[in-house]
Amino acid sequence: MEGTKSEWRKKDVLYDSIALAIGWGWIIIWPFIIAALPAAIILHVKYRKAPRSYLIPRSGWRFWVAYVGFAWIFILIGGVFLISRFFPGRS
Amino acid sequence: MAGKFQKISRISSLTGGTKWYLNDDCLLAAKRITYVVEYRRFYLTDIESIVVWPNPLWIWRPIIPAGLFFALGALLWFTVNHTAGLFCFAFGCGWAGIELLLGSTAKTRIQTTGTSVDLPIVARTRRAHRVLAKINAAMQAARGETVPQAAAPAVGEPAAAPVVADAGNAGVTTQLGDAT
Repeated sequence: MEGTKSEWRKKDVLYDSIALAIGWGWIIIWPFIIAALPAAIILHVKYRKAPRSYLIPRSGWRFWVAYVGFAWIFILIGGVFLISRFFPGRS
Repeated sequence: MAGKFQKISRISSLTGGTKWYLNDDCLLAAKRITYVVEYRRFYLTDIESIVVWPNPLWIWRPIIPAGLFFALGALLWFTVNHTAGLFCFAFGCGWAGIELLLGSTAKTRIQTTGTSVDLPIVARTRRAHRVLAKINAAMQAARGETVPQAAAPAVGEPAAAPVVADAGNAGVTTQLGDAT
């Protein structure tokens, strides 16, 4: 904390937003998933209580939405594979 | 820090933006820069004035995109086809129209005991009255004043008494009662 009597400062690092950005941003350079997934898990485990302790508290939903960012491409590919397997085309 | 924070304003930017909160005893600016939020708290009892005025450069916000899209539209009109050109003209008109409807962007100066801070409290001056009215009411409550029926408008330089001012309308300032 610093500043004058009438002004007061504090900083919070948004670990949940970092995890969210990692979770959805890895696809830009896809090999980064090797490092991005463990990084998101570590951030979630280490700082799971951080969002509630911010000066303006946040819920921790961003940590969970980060995992959706890792999973969506595999769910999409798997879904297309299953649909094509169980509902084959006429050709 | 007493009471729960109530969000009163939000100014977005490419790197994050600033959110303003109000509670029983302070005004809080949460400025986000990428993944760090820096909070600055201003005690309501220490605020001397908040002045909001239109940014004189805001007029370029409709002019520049409209000009660029008109130029692109003209280029497409003569080189590709009329439909593409018309699409660009319409996009440029729409952009400029929205900017004109939203009104001028705002600049803000918060004067507290011993410091003066330039931090945007509203994105557009048209919202300034609403936000400043909330701050005004909170300041009066924090100082134990009764809310006046109609605040007397005063023109000119801010006086020594606390002032919550919106300088967007020909420099009219709304003067509050004596804080002492």
